[in-house]
Parts: sequence; C-alpha cells; structure tokens
Amino acid sequence: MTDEALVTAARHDQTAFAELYRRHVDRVYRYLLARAGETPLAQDLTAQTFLAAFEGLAGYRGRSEFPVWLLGIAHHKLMDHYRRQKETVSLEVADELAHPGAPVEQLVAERLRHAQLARALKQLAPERAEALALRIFGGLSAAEVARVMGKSEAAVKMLVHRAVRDLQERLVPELDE
Amino acid sequence: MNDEQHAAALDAFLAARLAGQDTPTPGDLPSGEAELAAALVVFAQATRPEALFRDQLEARLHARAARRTTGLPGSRPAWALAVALVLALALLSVPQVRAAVFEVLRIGAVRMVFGNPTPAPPIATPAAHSTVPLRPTATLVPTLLDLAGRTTLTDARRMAGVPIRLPAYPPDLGAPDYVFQQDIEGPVVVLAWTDRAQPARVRLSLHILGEGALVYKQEPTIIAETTVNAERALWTVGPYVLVVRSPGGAEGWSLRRLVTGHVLIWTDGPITYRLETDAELADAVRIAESLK
Repeated sequence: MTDEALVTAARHDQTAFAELYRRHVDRVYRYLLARAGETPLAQDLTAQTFLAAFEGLAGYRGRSEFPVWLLGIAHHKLMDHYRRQKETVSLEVADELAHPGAPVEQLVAERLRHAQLARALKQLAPERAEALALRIFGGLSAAEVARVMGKSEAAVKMLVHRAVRDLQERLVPELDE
Repeated sequence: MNDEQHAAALDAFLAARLAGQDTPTPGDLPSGEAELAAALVVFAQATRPEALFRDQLEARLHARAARRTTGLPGSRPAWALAVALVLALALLSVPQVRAAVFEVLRIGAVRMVFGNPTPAPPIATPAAHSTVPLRPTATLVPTLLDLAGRTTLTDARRMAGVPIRLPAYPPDLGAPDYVFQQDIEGPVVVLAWTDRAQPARVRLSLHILGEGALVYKQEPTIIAETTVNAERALWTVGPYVLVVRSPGGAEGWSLRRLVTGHVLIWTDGPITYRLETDAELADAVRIAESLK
C-alpha cells in the first residue's frame, strides 16, 4: 500500500497511521539526531513531529510525497527548538576527530558520533547542514530536499556538495597529508 | 569538472548508496569527498531509535487514533488497551524503573518487557496516579471466566476469522468449557477448560490471537526459549496483567491476571498462541504440538 493510500485510510482506520509511523520513524529520527546530536532531544522532536503529523493529517493534500511533508514538519520542529534555544557552538570537534593516517571511511566509521557530527554540522553554514541532514539522514532525494527547503534541486546538490567538503575539512583535516 | 558537475556527481553517488547499491567511488570527485559521503550514509543507516522509544511513541499515537475513532473523551475505557500500554511504558521513563529494564521482546502478538532478575524496583507510585492496577495482586483480579464475548465453539469457528484448533492432549481434555471471542485490535479467541473438581478454577486456557491483536505482558520473572513444531517459543512464569474486554461490552476494557502459572507462547504463521497451564514445560509443549 502506498503512503498516500495509507494517509487516506488513516482518516478512519487507526492502524493505518501506525503503519506510516513504522515506515518513516527511522528517517525522521535519524535526521533529527544528526541535527540535534542528543538522543533525548531527538526523541522529543521525533515525538512532536509524529504527533503533529497525526493531528495535521487532514491538512495533507498530497501535493508532495508523504516523507517530504513529514520531514518538513520535523524541519519546522527543529527550527522552533533552535529559536527557543540560545545555542553555543563548540569549536573542539576538529581536534577531537583529528586522526591521521587511516582511510577516511574507516576513520569516520570508527570515530564519528552523533554528538560530534551534530557539532560539526552546527559549524557549517546552516543551509548546507540542513541540506546534508535531509539528504543523507532523512533519505530524501535532492528534489525532495529542494521542496522542504524551498530551493532548486541544483541548489540543493550544491549545498550538499559543499557541506560534505566542509565536513571533510573539519572531520578529517589530516586526510590529504 | 566544475563545481556544479562535482555536485551532480556526488548526488548521483549518494542516490545509489542510499538505495543500497554498492556503486564504486567516482574518481572525478575531489579526494576523500565520496568516501566521506559513503561513510555518512553507512553511519546514517545504522542509526535507529531505541526500541523502547519506538514502542512508547507508537502507543501514544495509537491512543490518539483510538480516541479519534471512538470520539470519546480521554478517560473512557474503549481505548484502554492503548492507555494501558502507555501507562506501562511510561513506567519505563521513571529512572529507577528504566534502570532495571533491559529488553523489550516481541513474539507474535505478545510484547514483553524484561526486568532485572534482582527484586523489581518500586513501581507502585506511578500506578497510584491511575485507577489501572499495573501490578495487581491476586485479590484484585477477577476470574477469567467472566470475560465478555462468551460464545460457542461453533459460532467462534464461524465468526472469529482465525482457525480454531483444539489440543488433542491430554486425552481427557475434550472440548473447552468456555469460549470467548473478542477483538483486541485483531481477533482473539480464548478457550478455557475448567477443573472438573473445581468448576470455577481454570485448568488450562488457550488464547488464539489473529493478525493485528496485541497483548502487553509486563515483567515475566522467568523465561526460557523452547520450540513448538520446530518454531521458536517462549516459556514464561510469573504474575502479569493482560488487557481484555470486560463484561461491560464493546466499550469495556480491563486488566486481568489470568493465571499465576506458566504461559507458553508460540506462533504459527500470522497466528499467535498463548497456552496458560499449571503443567511443566515438556507437557505444555506436548499440548501445544497436539493442536488439531
């Protein structure tokens, strides 16, 4: 059954939204954890996202795919959280992750932690961080990220490319040595 | 290759890796960029919310959906199954309780939370906020035999939507004395055989849970794995509660402790079976494997 059919069914069948939840909870949580960096906060925002999605289901018109709509809600919940919080940015992440010599995939897999990644993302230009989190952690296509962020698809690809490049500089500064 | 071409090449690589394709790293991207992107994909896809959190949130959503479907205000019992789940899982957010919990396990329609083998932490306080006895004592719990949905075996076979097979062992068992048919988010049939000498005492009961049914079982104190017809099965002991429809009818739900004895849980395709018995494990497996 497609997401859209489940959305229609969810208006009168209480099990349908549960299926939508099970299909998409991982991607919403991943995106929020990558951005928030803390499990409790990511859990809280994930819960807020799905509760808001459930309450707002009647307003979903199918103009965009359900995951795009859902991650759009997650994006707004995250932005609301940031607006409420005065954030401080750690500048220590590059030092924590500096580890010369190892292949980059191995290095990242071994050393990367969500909190570190989130801190590194916070050091990027906000739109680059958001595009990367939605593309890789939210699992959206570039076109779908473009709809969430109100950008062109080409602009999103460029944002992701630059985000990865910036992360490379921050996470593995010794790679090219 | 210019920046736009790099961006497009990276996006194509990401699309393939996110789709699970083991695409080779493009050589025309700047050194290390594709490798880092690939590592991020691996990292992302290995990230999952904790099972406990997933279940807890699903129960909250379920409660909201049930409330909307029934149109009832918050304290009505028609969605007490979901409320019971929320209340029970809410206990796990209490630090001293959560510290003692290490696993949620699901077999078929039965979901269990395991506690430490050490004495359970005090959990009466959260329950005191509710009228629902999360850890009832035997004196608070009515007998199984006044469940709602009493029917006949013939009608249950016709109406329940799940195949009803009966144990051929022990040979003197015969047909069940009581048959109940309920819907707990899915079809449930409860068969009960009473003790000939004490008709109010349940000798053996068999619960047949169809697709969609869900039973929440809290803190079984002993558990062992076994097999029924070569399929994985669980053997649990200890007081627990079960959400069932009460005699109040369609809107009546309540918590019951059905037996203090042993429960064997196994699945056969989409059907989950729970056998409640005083028998030992080997005998319980023999009963389970005798269903015809």
